[in-house]
Amino acid sequence: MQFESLAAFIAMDGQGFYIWLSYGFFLVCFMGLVLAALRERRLMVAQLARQMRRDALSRKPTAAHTETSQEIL
Amino acid sequence: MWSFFHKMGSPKWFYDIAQRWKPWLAIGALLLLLVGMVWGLLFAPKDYLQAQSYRIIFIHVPTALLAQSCYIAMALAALVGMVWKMKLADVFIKTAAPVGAVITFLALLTGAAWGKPTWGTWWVWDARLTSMLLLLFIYLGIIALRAAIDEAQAAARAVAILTLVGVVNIPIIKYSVEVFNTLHQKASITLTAKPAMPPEMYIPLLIMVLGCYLVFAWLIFQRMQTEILFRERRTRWVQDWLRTQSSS
Repeated sequence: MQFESLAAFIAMDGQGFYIWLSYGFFLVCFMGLVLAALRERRLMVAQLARQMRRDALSRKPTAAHTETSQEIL
Repeated sequence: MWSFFHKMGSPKWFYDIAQRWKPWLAIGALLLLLVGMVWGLLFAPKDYLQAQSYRIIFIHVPTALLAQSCYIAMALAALVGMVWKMKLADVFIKTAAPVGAVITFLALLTGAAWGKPTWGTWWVWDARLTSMLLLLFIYLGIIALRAAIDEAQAAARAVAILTLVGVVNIPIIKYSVEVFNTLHQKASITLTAKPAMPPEMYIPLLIMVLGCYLVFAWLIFQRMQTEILFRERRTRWVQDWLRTQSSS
């Protein structure tokens, strides 16, 4: 290990700000990309499933419709 | 080889392959990034000139390499899409562009953070930095162009052309440090010569590069799956799969 203490590790010989800025942004950006990708897929699946249910319902004839058409016949 | 190419034309085939590979990509990426960062931050030795600030290399080089590789892949996809009309090519370009933009931003940011303690400045308009900034603008332009065109086919075509036009920037980036008198240093790692740094530094660097590439692959697979589900939503296989999802 190159550092004697946690404080020395964070300080990084006075260059800690630049190092932790870089690593911080790296971790935040990549985690953000991963979480966004997971979320978008979840939302898409939900949206498509909802749309599929709506399409199925609009295609099914209702009881009222059936009676009316029989009357006309 | 030809049958692989033929299969790549099928969104369903790609979806299934992606589903199988994702867990391995995720595990591999997490392991490599963990090992790479711990090694680079805690165990790699101090640099004789830069002391600790050089540790930014373990983030900067992977993101810079990946930013360029992502663009090259997009340009190849644009070519394949235009010549062979492969649907998945456009799906790849659409999903990769925002990821590439974020990675280019990271490369620029970490480069600036490294430059300040090393060169005394966050930014300089030398050939390497300027051409990388241009790469970011081209990524953003690709994203904006797609958003600006409503019709999907026309958008795909226009974006493919822009992507191909922009690829001229890649050799400019690569050779900028050779051809121009730049503040940015020349390549320390090449395919031909021994690396200009000790193994305690370049092995964690290679680990980080590989880890970042695996994260990128996972991200692309995940995002392409989402896009494929949308584009193929009217097909039987998607409808059947959605039905299994809602019932579970």
